[in-house]
Amino acid sequence: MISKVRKIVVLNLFREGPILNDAIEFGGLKFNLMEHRIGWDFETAERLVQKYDGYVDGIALSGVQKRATVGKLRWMNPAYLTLMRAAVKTPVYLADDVRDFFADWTLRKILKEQPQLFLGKKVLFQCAIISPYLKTIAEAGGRVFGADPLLVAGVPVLLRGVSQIQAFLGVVQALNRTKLGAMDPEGNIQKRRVRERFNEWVRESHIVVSFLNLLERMESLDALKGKILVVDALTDQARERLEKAGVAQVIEFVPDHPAISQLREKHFSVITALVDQKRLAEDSPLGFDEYTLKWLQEAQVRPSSLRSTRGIVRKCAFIIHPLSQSDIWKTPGLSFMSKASKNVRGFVEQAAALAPAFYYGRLKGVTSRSTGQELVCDIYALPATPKQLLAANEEFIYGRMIDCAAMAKKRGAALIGLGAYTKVIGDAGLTVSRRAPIPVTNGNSYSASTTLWAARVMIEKMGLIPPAKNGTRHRGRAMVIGATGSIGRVSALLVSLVVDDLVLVATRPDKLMELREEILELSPEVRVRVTTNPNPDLPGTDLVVTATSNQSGAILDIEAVKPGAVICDCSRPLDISAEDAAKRPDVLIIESGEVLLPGELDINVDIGLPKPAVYACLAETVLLTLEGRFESFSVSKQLSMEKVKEIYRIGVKHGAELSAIQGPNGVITDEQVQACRALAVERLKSWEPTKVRGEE
Amino acid sequence: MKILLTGATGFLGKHLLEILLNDERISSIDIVSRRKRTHPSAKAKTISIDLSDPSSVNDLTDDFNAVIHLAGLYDFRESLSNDYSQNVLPTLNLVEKLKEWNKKRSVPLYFASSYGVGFGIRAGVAEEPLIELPSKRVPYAYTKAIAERAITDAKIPGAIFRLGILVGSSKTGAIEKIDGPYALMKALQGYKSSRIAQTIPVIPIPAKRAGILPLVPVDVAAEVFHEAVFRNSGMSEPARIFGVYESTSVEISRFCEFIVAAFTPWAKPLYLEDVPSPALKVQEFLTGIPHQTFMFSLEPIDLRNERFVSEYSSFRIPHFDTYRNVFLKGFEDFSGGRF
Repeated sequence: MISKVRKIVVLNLFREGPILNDAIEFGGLKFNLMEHRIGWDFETAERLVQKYDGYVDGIALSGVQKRATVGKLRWMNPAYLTLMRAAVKTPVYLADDVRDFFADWTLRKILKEQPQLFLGKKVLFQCAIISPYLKTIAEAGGRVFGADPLLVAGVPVLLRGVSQIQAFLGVVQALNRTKLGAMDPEGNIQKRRVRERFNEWVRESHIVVSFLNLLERMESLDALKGKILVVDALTDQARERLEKAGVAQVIEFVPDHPAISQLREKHFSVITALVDQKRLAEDSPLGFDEYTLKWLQEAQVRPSSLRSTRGIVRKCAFIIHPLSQSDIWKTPGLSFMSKASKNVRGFVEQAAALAPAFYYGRLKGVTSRSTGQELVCDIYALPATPKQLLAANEEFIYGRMIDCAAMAKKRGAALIGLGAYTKVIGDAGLTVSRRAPIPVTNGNSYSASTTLWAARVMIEKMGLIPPAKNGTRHRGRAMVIGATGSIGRVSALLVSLVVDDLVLVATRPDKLMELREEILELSPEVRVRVTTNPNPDLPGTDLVVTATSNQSGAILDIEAVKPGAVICDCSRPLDISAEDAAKRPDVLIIESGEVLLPGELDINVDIGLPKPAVYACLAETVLLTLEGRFESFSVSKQLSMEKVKEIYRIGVKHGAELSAIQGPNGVITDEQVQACRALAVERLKSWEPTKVRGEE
Repeated sequence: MKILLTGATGFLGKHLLEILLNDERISSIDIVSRRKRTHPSAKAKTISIDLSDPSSVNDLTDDFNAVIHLAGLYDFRESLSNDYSQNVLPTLNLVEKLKEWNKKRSVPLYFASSYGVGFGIRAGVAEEPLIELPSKRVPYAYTKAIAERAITDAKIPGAIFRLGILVGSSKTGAIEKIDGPYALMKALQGYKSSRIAQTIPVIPIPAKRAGILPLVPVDVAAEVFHEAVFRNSGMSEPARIFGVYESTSVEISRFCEFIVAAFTPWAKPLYLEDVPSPALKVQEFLTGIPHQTFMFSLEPIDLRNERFVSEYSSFRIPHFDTYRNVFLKGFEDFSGGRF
């Protein structure tokens, strides 16, 4: 039996061009789609509806809005009514209902993942009155603006807020134009003065909400650099243009599903027609809405998410600075300074600190292992050493960092990270994040995560503590010195999940008791003791995490540390001096975990690490960008355990790995670990740990 | 051979029909017409259908050896919806039918397109399938281009002839209506009787001086179609494209100087190349010369037609200079007045 081939005529009012014919299969049925690209011409559309009425199975109208709804105001498009009435026998399909449904579904999904996406952001709608997601975005905290008067009537007035947009819809209603199409937004966007004004508004916005047909009419998309774009659907050509323009992120409403991907252009009106034709072919008793829900479930259609931006390279930025004078002398033309007198070197160091920040280089080739998302990171340099940064006026340094963020934004970055001492100055990025034009992160969450990760790796390499089996904890003792500080607290909470004996050390007994209660709530089976003196417990401690703000004197007696212990020094400046570290070659001291980002990394400048390793704080900036999380993730000196765990998960997801682990003398090699272990094993034969207090 | 012919009542169609009726190799001609009519020749039969209706082609028999599609709306002042209905839909419907027929055997299509499909396409079109389309602001050219694309996309065998500006017979100059360059002559004819006009030393011409008028006499165009039917019989390659006009053509300046000298010898042409279209409309109001008269000369059009010149070398389209007097006579005979 030959199955009938159903004919659908598509009238595309968005585009002009030749007629397209496609033969497709959908839901087990065969269809011939004939698309007439008649552009914004309602007279021709009406003529074609009349011509094809009764001769085809369905007529899909792309570019005709059924209605506009803003608040309580609802307006039925007379053009839609005219076209619907032109057909008597053949069903005429529009996009509205299915598109609105997918728009809401997609936005809700994305907001669940990123509730802060629109919060406080300036969201510019090209045509607010016909955007079904105006309400959702406004409710999600977006500050909404409408370019409707400019686009539909050439009048350079920006509508501010839902009530003004509603008022404009009222004007449209009152004018009672015969056709919405008569306002010709597609024609207006091509006029130079309209285009220039619109681009001006785009530059002032964070997020732009548009339609594909309007985007395609724009001669240049450069104003969208660094922005988030919300659009109904994209073609490959549009995607390429957006990539070239440097758009940061795109949210598309068309779901990613094979049945829909096969369509040359993903018209929601065509999707509506195909689903309804399937319903009619099955002679289903269900109404269209119910049938569509049934189909969505059976076909396992899912809304698109931010991952649909694959193919558009994202950009972030990172600020670094010279870690010492010798780094400054590496600048071409300044190498001779290394031989200058101490006073001259000091003078140049001070003068350099006054110079503005500059674009230094870039990192590219990062590609997420799970989503394929690509990324470029611009690196900016503040030419000030740690000494100069700590001595400078905080406001001056904040200003420099904000300038970096502005430069980065201009080049299309959606997020900027603070490296080395730039995150130590003042309030660790809080003030800068409030004033910068793009979100700022200090990278502390991932720094803490990777340091502890490195500690775990080193404990496993040392092999002196039996591994935990089947969800049980390690039988060993951990100590956190500086436990009540930001990093110390998070470290203590995380370590409490894996050991059965934990000692918390700090100078404030009241805060220690408070932290102890918090840990016991989280991990009741852990034995938690508090003390202001770490030394008596050191001989029996396998892992020491130091995270103090101590500036003078040793924080522990290095000779009391158990042979084979791992000391994880999270403090900056370091708690364990080089001299103390040298005294105990049988103790493994680590300072940080560097990160290997996924992809074929290409860094064209020296950031102080052997390529391709990067600092954890830079990795945090990159990972957040890969994830599409353009937010001030880590700011201030406070750390959150949830964020430390979250950024670790994001890192695992995209394929970040630990690279080199740094110790007091640079990268710790496996040979060094084995040598340390051998010494420790020997010493442990005669080691007598002090008895633990409370057990006597 | 059995032929299906559309547009037989048009200027070109009438000439071609006469040639086909006189060719003994053609056994019958089915003439598509919207109106019911009976043709005096026993060889010709009228099929009364509106080709713009999708079902119109359903009843066509599949025993044709060739389809010649000349029907279309040639009026620059028409709206897009009318042009689309008359130029696109009939072609589309015929193409759908031809796709069916060509699955069984070769049934070529000979299509009368227009050189105007290259209007404003800076990359040029030569005698190749269109990639870009002309602007929708010139609905005639735009819809002809869409119709052409429907044929080339469907890879229907046959030939597409991008005709130049059809002018009267090269032998008699006979025309059927005033359009195209004849509109200039009609306007100038009116000037001759105006005393005020006789004091004005210039005639504003809505054209670019260096523009080209690719003319083709209607009798020659009809012979080309006639020849093509027998050349391509049985061929299954996708339709090739030919530019049918005099290859050296005539410059607007030369043409206008001739016409102006013939009608209004006291005046000289004044070319308004750089006048934007709203001013052209004002000029039309003042001079009576429709602003569309030389519309295609206002933008570059690729007129390369080496393929036609080499493959239809026996059809030397005469240069305007050789029949310009006949050209004038044709206008005179039509308008009933001397100049």
